Amino acid sequence: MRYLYYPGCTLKTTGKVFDDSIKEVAKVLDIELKELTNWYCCQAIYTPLNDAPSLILGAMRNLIETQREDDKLVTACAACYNVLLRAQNSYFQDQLLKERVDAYLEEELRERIKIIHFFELLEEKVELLNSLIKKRNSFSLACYYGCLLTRPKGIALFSNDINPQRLENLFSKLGFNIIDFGFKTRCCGSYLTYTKEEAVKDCVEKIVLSIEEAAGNNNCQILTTCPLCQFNLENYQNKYQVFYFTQFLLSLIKGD
Amino acid sequence: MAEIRIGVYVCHCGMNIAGVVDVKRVVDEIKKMKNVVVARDYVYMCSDPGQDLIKKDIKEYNLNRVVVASCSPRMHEPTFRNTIKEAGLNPYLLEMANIREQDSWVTEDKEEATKKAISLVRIAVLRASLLEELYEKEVTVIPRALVIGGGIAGIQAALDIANAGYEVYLVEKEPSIGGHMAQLEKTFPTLDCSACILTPKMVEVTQNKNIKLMTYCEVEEVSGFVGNFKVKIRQKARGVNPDLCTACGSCSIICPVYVPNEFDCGLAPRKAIYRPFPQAVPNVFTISFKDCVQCGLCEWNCENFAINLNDKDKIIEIDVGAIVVATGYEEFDPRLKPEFGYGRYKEVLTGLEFERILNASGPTFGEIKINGKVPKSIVFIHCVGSRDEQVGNPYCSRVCCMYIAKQAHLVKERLPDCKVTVFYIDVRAFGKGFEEFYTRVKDEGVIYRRGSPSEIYKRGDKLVVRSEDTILGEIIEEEADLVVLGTGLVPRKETLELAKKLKLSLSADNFLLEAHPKLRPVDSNIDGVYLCGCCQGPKDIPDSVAQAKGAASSVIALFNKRVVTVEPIQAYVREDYCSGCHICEGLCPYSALEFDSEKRVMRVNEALCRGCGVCPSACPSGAIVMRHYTDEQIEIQVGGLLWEE
Amino acid sequence: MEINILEEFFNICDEPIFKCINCGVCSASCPISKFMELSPQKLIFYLVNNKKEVLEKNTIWLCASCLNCQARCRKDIDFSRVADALRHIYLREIARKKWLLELEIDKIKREILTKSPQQLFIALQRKFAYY
Repeated sequence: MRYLYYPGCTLKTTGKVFDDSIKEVAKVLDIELKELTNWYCCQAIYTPLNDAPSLILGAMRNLIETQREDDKLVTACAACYNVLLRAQNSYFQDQLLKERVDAYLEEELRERIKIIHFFELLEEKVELLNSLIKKRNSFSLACYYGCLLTRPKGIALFSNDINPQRLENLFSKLGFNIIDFGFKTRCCGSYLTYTKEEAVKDCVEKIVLSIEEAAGNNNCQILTTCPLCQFNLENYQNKYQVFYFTQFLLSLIKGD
Repeated sequence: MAEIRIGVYVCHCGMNIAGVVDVKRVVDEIKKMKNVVVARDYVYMCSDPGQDLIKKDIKEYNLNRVVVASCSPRMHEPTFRNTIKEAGLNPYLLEMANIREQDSWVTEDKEEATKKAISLVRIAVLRASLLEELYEKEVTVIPRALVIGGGIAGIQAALDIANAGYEVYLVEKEPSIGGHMAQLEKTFPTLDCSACILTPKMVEVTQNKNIKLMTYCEVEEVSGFVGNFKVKIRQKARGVNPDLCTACGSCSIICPVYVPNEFDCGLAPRKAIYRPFPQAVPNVFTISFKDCVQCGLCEWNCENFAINLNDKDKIIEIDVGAIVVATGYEEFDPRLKPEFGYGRYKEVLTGLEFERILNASGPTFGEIKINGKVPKSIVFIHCVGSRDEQVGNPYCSRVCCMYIAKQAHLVKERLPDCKVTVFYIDVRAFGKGFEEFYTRVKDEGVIYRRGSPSEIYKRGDKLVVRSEDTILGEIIEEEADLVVLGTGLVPRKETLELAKKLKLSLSADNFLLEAHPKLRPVDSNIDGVYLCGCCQGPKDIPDSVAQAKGAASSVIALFNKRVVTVEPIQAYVREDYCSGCHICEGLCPYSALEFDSEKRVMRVNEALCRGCGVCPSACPSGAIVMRHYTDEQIEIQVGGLLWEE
Repeated sequence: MEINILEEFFNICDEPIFKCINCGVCSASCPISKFMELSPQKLIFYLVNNKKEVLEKNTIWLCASCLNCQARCRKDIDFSRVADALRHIYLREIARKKWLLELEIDKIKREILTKSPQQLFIALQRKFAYY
């Protein structure tokens, strides 16, 4: 299957290692990811108001680019997914916003683009993954969702579940023991790393506490789906190892 | 045809109409119309002198049609119909023109208002000339009632109707009556023991000869109309003959199957053959066949040969004249708010579960213990599942503030050293004795902190409740050994299905809809079906009892009349024009159209027809005619508006 | 300066803040509320009462738009949008790049600066600078 792929600024620069892992996992699973020829930074956070349509232009331009070749777009960064989805939603729901944004775009967005998170592609390939995994370690997995993929309700990828279990379902089908902890959708601190480091430390501490309480004596690894969550969880605690989900899968497939 | 002689009366309604409409000019214009024998104006037509004016004119001028131009027919149509009936005319020879709500109350322009009033009265006169005499029908009422639901509301309604001398079927889907009130420990604010005040009423039900108690039964199908309902009831297979069972319990002792006891909210087990609680009425055992493994041990052990493992469901058909729906509520499922950890942590309980723990015949025999230990701190949380858009329940459940205060009081009584904290947003202590009770509870040392907690997590072996104290303005993390969620009341899923069967309307929050929110709280949208108790909306026991008595009195009034009059504003089929195409049949919301297979034409069941007007408009051959709103009567009004004479 | 904060707010944002019953779930859900001068619930109360002090508190700059508040609010109010609107008002009326300039870049540890994901920078710019 061939998909258009939107890496986002992080995965092309500081998160290059994640991007590589995504491309490799896709190759192994027979998914072709063709990178968008012209793409723009999505702006990382969705904050437009009634009178500031220019703030979603970056995201909309990516969708226009996609429209030229396909009606689907795959992204692996949680922030990009969140912004693209919400920008597209506002565009089609608010007529006035659409008119104002159209004034800046080369062409209008005619139909909704189906925005797919790389995780959804994995869900379809469970048997293939199972057969490719060479070695499993004895660690249990704590799947951390973060906020960008679970909110706002009704729009985000995992938002319709009261207690999202899709990550856990995938990995338990792959034969792992799952630790289900209460704070898996609690914010990691996000970009406050620069402006208020202690807030991030506090958030991460609470997440770790929740995992500790649920895991008990089990050895545990944390899986993340967002490069920023990955960064915050890695740097502000050293109790558990943290892996980006595609990095984790790649290491299982490679056997190291 | 006899000469049409119309009397026209234009009301001033004080200044309501006359302040805007020039009533004298209207009268002058209308006097010029054909067939108008007399036209007058008067200050208040609905008053006694106003009505007398009409009656006098009818006799003096030999009137045979009357037009009253005044307020909306919804106000006084019955009044004026009565007036002309008293003067000897058929009440359906009255036509009203609404020159108040549709004219003088919607504009200040006097010229426009007067012109419109003239038009409205003109077309009223035109229609009046085509009106025909119609006669109301009487249908006998079967003096037997059906009460669906055996909680406190259903029990009270059944008792009142039975004490008035009428037969009642009391149908309850559980093996025993009593409902949720039987599960409670004490009731607020008097702290009466719930079972002690309920069981005498339950016993009265068995002793009253007019009540036919049908437990472990559900309503399958309902058809018919007020005074004549046909109901099919499914009597579920009990497996135990209630006439032979002595409730000795030897079957239960030997039964090998353990399942969670619904009466104890799943906190304690019961056997597959069981009695829900010791004071059950009827006091017999029941087999829940979905759990039974058919081992036959109970049958072998029963000394009275009361057990039949091959028992099957039975359908019983009854005819009743009125139905009272009293099916009650169910508790909000806190799994819909996973941040509170219900299900994840054993120490988080719902309101009803904690009530069972407090109850002396409950799973812990009234000892407040969690994980085998006595808690040193308990936290109560208000508004769980109520006043919350996130779970789709924006309403307030009305009873939680008080039941939490009651439970907090009971904890302080039994564990004086336990720290009790209540997190609230408001405290709604609206009823008699409620505010005094709340003050007393606070005086006993229960700490009330304002703030709605956002999450509960575990730290070590203690639960932590995180909330903002909005009065102090700080985030607090209160440690607790036990957390009780003040879960709200939600409509039962079974009631939604029953509503479909009875064609009852639902309000926005899915409780059953009453006919008028202020003035008709126990009537439903269906004549002859009444609502009471929590199925109509969350309420406490005194309000449920009051509503039950209200529903019962409506039923008794209906039965006392013995007949019910049916308004003649209905459709009828002109058989010569009907081709039997069946188009009308599916459109009727009241299922009032039947196919006569002999004559091969449609027929209107006049007991069911409500005169909504859908079938006459749909009939392709114009075979169906709506009495009192015939095509000719409507067309002459349209013509009268479009073409001035 | 004279700002009618409520009027300015409703010019650019239609969140129904008058529905707020001050239950405090937003403050309790907010992972950052401990560090805020005005908790989210208090901020909405100040705003409803037209107090322009809301622009001088650090609350609106600490909101990370994690939407935990919006997921829990009993009246379906999105506090992060309220914070966004107030930020926009500040950046337009008072100072174009205030917080960004006050960001003490040299205080941040070197390895955090170099290894942090790009989106962190972008999000920061988005929140703290006027465009």
